[in-house]
Amino acid sequence: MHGQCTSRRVNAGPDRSLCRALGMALLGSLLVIAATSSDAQAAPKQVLMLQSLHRGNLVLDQFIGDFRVQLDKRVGESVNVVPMVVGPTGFVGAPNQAAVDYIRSLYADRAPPDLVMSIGGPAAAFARQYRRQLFPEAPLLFASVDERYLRTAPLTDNETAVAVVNDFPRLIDDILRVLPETKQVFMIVGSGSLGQFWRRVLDSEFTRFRDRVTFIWSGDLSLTDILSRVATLPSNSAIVYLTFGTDALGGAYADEQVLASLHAAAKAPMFGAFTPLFGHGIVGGSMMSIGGLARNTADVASQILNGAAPATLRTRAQSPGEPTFDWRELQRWGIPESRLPAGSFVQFRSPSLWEEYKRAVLAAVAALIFQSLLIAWLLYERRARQRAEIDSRRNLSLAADADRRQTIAALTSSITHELKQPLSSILHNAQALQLAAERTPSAPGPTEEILADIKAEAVLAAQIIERHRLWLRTHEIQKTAVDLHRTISDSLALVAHDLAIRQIEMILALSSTPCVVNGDPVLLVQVLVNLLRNAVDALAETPPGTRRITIGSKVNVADVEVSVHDTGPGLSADLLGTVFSPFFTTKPHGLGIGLAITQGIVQAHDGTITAQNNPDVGATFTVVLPRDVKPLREPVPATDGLDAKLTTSSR
Amino acid sequence: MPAKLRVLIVDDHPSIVRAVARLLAFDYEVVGSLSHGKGVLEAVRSLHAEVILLDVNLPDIDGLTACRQVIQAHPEIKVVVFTAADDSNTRRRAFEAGACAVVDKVEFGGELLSTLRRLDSARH
Repeated sequence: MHGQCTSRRVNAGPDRSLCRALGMALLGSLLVIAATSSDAQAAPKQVLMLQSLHRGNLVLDQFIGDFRVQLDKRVGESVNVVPMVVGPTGFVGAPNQAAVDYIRSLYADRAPPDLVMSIGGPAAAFARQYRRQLFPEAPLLFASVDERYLRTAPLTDNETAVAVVNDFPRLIDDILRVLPETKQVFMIVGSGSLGQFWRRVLDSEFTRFRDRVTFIWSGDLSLTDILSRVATLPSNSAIVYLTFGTDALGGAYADEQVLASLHAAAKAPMFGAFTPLFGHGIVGGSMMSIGGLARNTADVASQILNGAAPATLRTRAQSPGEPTFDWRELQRWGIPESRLPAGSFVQFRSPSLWEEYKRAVLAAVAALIFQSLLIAWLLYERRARQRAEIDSRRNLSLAADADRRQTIAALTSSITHELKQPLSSILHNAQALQLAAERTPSAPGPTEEILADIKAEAVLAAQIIERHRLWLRTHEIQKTAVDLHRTISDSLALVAHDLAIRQIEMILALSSTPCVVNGDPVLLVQVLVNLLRNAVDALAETPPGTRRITIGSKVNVADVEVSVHDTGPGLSADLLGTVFSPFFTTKPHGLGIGLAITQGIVQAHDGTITAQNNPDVGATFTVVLPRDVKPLREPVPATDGLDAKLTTSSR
Repeated sequence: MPAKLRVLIVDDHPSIVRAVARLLAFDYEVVGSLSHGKGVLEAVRSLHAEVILLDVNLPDIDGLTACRQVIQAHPEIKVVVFTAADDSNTRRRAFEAGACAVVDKVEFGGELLSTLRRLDSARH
């Protein structure tokens, strides 16, 4: 179809005999293999493939590779393809007749091939020239050839072609579209007959660009000169890589090598017209699909091998496909995609960061969203829990307030009795003072002592009132370091009168070390008062001499315990589990919320409360609270004021 | 001049004992005071008390029990129950125990003095 090229530089002369020897050995081997296998099964189809070029031409290499694969698929039996390079590099310097003779000699003792194929323009010209000598009975298929090569003569009945119509002016149109300022196009062609052929053809076809673009041809230059030239091209230049093969010095080069060198040196964008060149540094353009051409050729060849007459297998010459561009080259030369012809394909697009890491980014975003939702949900839950805790605390506070008021109401007689003591003292002291003033105005007696007593008793009365006032006030939980021994003392002050009139003996068995917890002083007193009143109630039916309540305390490493032990009848087994339930009561007038609130207060202090029957008699309620190691704000007073009525012991 | 009425005070609140003793000292002889109930009989005998001012809530025994014991042993002794729990039930129980009067610890009309004056007059 076009230019000559090899995969390596070939030296004329010394290698000639070697090349021929290798070719003969290869062909001989193939024929022997074919003959041997024919003994076992039907003889394989024989195809003589006349090639224009050795390996190294990207276009023909891909065409032949694809064609062989497609042919094997279509024929369905083994096909023996014998390649023979008949172009200038096949028999370098030798007359064509020698090549003809050589080929004929290979088939002297064998059956002629079932199909003769020519690959490329030079091979087509060779086949046509020596048609009579090269198996004129065998069908001839001109493959991978520009139809211009075939215009010299019509196809005979035993010939057909799968040709192309290379449209290089269309490629120049593509260049001028994407680079409208282009003034000069450097045409890379080899120095062989193929290059010369195309220069002749294109000089004529490019005439319509004459006013706009200057074409420079590389056919007269060595590869070194070509590389120098492309490195110094003026701006507004473009390069078209048509074909190469050999340079002006006769050196043969593989396309890949030439393209890589050009790509590295060029100061102008490079274009090409065949798909195999794509990806080797060319910007792109309207290119001939060599894969499609190979498939079409295999179709025709397989039908001929299966007996179809070539004259019945005429095909239309294939034209270039849709323009395709290399994104990397567009970027390199700053060509915007908006300039590309409509319907262009862009390949080798480097994925953007988004495209490259799309999955990772999406996964990260999804994880982030999930995490955010989780955090939001947790925050919501936390908020809801906080709200619930606040509500719970508020409810507990309200219930505790109500419980304290009920307790105070129940202790009214006790409060009255307690207040009457200082008031009585004050009253009678005042009367004594008045009497002294009336009877002995000059010497009223121990006035100072009386006044001191009055003042002390007034203070005591005020303290009693304040203690109860605190209890009646609406109260929110406020925690601080509290010694439960102080709590016990305060609680006993409130119920002392109750204990006295019921003739209950109170025993204190307290730890020698402070029982410090982080708690609300008022609520903790409420816990103790409730437990004491519960114990007092439990002793109602107990004979006076045996009514006893023992308050114990114990300090452990991590917690402290306070227990209230009574000598009452104890709790029946069925009540043990429900004693802290709301509205549980054994009293005819009780609400049954005292112990439930007590438990609520203890739990609000992260503690536990349990009730159990004693081994001998009565029940014990035990409160366990976390120990606090913070120092107390104020020293704990002794459990004074109750000495006369209490039996106190330390342990 | 006739001898002053001999009064024994039984109350576990020292400040009340002091105040009442100061008040009564103008017209009567306060022979002593006790802060518990168990020694009342012995004190009555040893101190020759004629009137006992007796608190109801004592730390050892019930004041009314002490009252009963005193009246039983010395019917001539006048017991005035001096209480902070001046309610009808306490009054009833006090009179049943033999008390001749019940006086509220917080009285603003000079009830304590008038009661003692009445007892003092009855003695003559």
